[in-house]
Amino acid sequence: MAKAKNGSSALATSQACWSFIVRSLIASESKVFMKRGLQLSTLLLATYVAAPALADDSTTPAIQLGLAPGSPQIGTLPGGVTPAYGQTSADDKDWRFDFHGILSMPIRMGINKREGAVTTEQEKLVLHAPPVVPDDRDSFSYTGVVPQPYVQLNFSYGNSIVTGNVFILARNASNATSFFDPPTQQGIYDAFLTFTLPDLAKNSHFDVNVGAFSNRYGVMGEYDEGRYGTPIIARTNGVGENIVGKFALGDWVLDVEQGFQGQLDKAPNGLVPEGWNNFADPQLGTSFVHHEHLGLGYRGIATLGAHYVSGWSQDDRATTGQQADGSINVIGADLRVSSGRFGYFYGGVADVIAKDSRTVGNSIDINNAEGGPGLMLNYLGPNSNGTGKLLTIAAQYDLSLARLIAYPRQFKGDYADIVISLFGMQTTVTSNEKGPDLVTHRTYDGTTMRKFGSEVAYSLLPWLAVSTRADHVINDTQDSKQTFTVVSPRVIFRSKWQAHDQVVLQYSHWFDNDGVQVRDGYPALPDLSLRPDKDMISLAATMWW
Amino acid sequence: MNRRRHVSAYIIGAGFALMARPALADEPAPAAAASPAAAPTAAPAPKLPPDENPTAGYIPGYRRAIGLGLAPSAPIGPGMPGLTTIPFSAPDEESDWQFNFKGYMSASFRATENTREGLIGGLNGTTTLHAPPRIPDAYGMFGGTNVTPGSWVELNFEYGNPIVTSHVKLTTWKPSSATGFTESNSQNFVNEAYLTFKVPPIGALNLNWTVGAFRNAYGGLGQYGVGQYNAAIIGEPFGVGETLTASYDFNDTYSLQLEHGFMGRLGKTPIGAQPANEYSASSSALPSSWVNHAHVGLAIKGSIPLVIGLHYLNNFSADERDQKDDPQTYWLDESHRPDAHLNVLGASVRMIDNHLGNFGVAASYANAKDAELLTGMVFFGAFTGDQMTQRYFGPNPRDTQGHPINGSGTGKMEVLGAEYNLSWGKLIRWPEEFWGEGPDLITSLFTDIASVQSEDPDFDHVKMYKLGTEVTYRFCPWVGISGRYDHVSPNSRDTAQDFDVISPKILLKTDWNSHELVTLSYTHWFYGDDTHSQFPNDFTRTGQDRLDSNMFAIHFGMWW
Repeated sequence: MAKAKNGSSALATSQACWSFIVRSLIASESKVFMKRGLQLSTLLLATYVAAPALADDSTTPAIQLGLAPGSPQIGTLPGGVTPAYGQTSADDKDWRFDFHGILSMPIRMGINKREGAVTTEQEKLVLHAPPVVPDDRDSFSYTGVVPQPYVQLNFSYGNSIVTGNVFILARNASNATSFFDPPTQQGIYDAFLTFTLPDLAKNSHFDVNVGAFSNRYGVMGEYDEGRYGTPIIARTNGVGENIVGKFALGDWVLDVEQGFQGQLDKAPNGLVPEGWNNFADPQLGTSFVHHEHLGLGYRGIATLGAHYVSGWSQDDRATTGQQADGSINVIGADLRVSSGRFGYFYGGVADVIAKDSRTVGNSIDINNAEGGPGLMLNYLGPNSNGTGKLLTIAAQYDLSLARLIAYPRQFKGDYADIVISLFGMQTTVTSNEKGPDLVTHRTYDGTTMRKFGSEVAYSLLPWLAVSTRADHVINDTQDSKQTFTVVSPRVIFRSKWQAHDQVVLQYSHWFDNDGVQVRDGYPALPDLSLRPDKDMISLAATMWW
Repeated sequence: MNRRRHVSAYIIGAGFALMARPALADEPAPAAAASPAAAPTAAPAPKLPPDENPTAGYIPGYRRAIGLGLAPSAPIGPGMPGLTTIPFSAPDEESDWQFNFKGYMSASFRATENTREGLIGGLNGTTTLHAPPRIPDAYGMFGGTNVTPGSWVELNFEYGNPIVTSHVKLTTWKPSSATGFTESNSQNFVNEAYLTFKVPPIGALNLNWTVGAFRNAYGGLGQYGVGQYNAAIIGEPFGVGETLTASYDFNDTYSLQLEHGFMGRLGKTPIGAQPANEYSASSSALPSSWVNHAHVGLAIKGSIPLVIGLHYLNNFSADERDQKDDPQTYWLDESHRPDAHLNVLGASVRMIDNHLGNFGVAASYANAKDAELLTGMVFFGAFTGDQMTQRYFGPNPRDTQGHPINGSGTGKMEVLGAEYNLSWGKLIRWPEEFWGEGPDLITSLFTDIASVQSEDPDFDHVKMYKLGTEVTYRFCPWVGISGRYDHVSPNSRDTAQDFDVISPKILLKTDWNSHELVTLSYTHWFYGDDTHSQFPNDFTRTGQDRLDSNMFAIHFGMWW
């Protein structure tokens, strides 16, 4: 209470000073030559400017000769109107710390047989970690069946209007690595402010994100990236802003969203691409992305969205001579339906036009492929210079049978249930690279890629569920050698019916055709000499909070 | 064709049936709506409840605040397998969750003193100061006595309920602001991430399950840690996997302890990653390794609690990938890589803290075959099979004729360790309770003994031991004094390698039982003529990298 009183009195003093200054300025305006008044105003103005630092004298630390070790290593905040670090604000009781996160740690064992002669000191059976299977996240063949290590810690501090968010992210745990791979320990991944502005206009709500963060559009899941873990329209990364506006019109809600982001830096010329710098490419220019979205929602049940995302670079350090600036533009639309007992449906389409995108960095990701080089590796071909088109359509449908059958009785997920999920995705590629690639023997132009799958889960006990997932992946409709099917029966242990945690014991079997490609090396690239593992056993612990 | 048409018709029909009423759930039943002039005796059709569930948990179809994209806070990756677990950030009715922030920090200022030698001019003989110290003591080495610990910071974020808790640990052994250069792998960032399940008791049976990336330790001699010499005698599997612990209470005194675990690595060093320091110097020639371990024990409760355990650990690999010879490991032809094994059998007895003190003794027998290739288990302070080979088995195996042979890390080791810590304050006051809130004299005796049989003639039949004692007297809440002496004999075939260490200390605290400690210490090493440090350090008695004899240290530590 004492703090609050002091804060209030300081505020009142400041306001009184401000009123006096205004009066003085008005007076001095009419008496320009009355130097005395002007001098007084100037003095008081200086006093007012200094006032923020004195706003709460009771908590001001004792004067010391140096700076406390906990002080940030930055200069004064611009403007000088924000209380300095460590100062208690007058409304500090409104502030709250929040901690959320998710961890997923799998042990995975790819099983294969040794090729050729086996010595007395070797077993015929070989065990691989990570499994040698076609499940790279940035490729079309990614199904998300192989569990991946992932840890995200979300630290937030804020009040009802503004929240500071700092996220720590890792795709590894140092304790369990075979070698230290710096890019998998991404450290502070996101750092941004979120402003929540509910009363800016009648029947409207605004959220504003400012800082370093990512946006994802075309996500197939109800709460997540969906069964394929792939936003089909785009993922934008960088530092910038994102404004979300919602306008209520009776049963309808109009969603308007916009964002602009850029990268903090560029890999300097002369930097050697190596593992520790995530194989940074000095030929990528500093990249930017702007995106605009329009949506129409009906009673929170259905939302129809239209999206435009444009990523580009125009950096003379990356484009030498006559080299063109690169761009990746996406136009997309999607429909999301949360239809209660009838389940959840998502359907979306995205049209990607890439032009000389070789120089566009990962400010924009398409189907998890990072920037232009990612598109070239996975879709357009290494000799396309990143020019081509992608047309992607995708859908997902999830249904709880117990909920459907139980209606109109209540079902809160607290007894046996069968959950069904159907999902599919198709991408058609038009590329500048017309012929087959000499290394990978892949043809890029005119390729249609298709994958679809299903998972059926039976939740039979509070602590136990079983499921089976089947995926069929056609990497090229004109080359059946690259097609494979993966079947994954799972046993799921959790702490109760509606749990935040699960431990999944999974067996997966791949039915590969002859031409299925897997990756190896550092960086990981297609290696035709590798024989993919046909079987995998994994145990994955996952929990969020 | 007809059959196909029928099936299609059924599907389309079912689709229309499902789609016909998605938005009508909260409307009146059709009968009621269509019969305004119905007979007054007809009972009105019951109004269906709205199809809403604000805490639907995992059940799909009930998200109402739908946006055009995904929130920046949502995880990257696919949804959870099975769809029977609540997705990230979906609303539910949870209430008994709790956040815990725990941690440990220790930072050591350590400066060793020496003199310049071999220089021309006035600088010869002048004093030099070194950090890190050039001593035969580094984490996990047999010559290590742990007289002044190094730095270690561990932040443990926990979130959970009485049944399941998540743990994420961020760690480093080198806080950045105090470094002379950026050593990227000194920051472990997310080092461990795992879940612990505490299953509600089933009769006399208690089950605990740990799953994720974590570490186990067996053969620890201390009450709460691995002991004064900081090396578990039996083994420490680490990596990603699971450990299931079962405890069955026969009665109030005796309980059976069973434990089993299986661990692996998240990945394998790929071809193209050079064995450079920034990648922890790991080679792509190393296979992915696994650890299978099982334990059985008997716990005896009472005024003098005892835990007796038998242990089996098997560290192995069976991986044919990247069989290309690494020129840096000249002693091994990785192009014909064998499957590697390290089998450890162990036994341990611990008397847990009581008025007679805390006592632990453990012994292990290790049988290794090509263990140089292994990772994933710490054995007697050696973090990898490579370290074990360099320190104990030797890198140059020979056949009986003395000719070099392929493969290393083959041999046998026997290890014995014992430690006894006694609080005289507790003993004298017994049977009165004493929890450290008063003056106390604490004595500690400890030893490690090992013998090696190896194919490397320079390491074969080597026996080694070290022993020490520490006496600590606390006479007021915030200060105590301590003195420690250690004798180390690392090679029975060359006693000139023996050395002694003395280390007087002043201990500063804020209270008798506070969680922090500041230690001021001076340490002196009395070296033998041939004393040298172990792999990877190569400090000797002479030359540019001579061992330092004196160390001044201030150690800061706290846990919470």
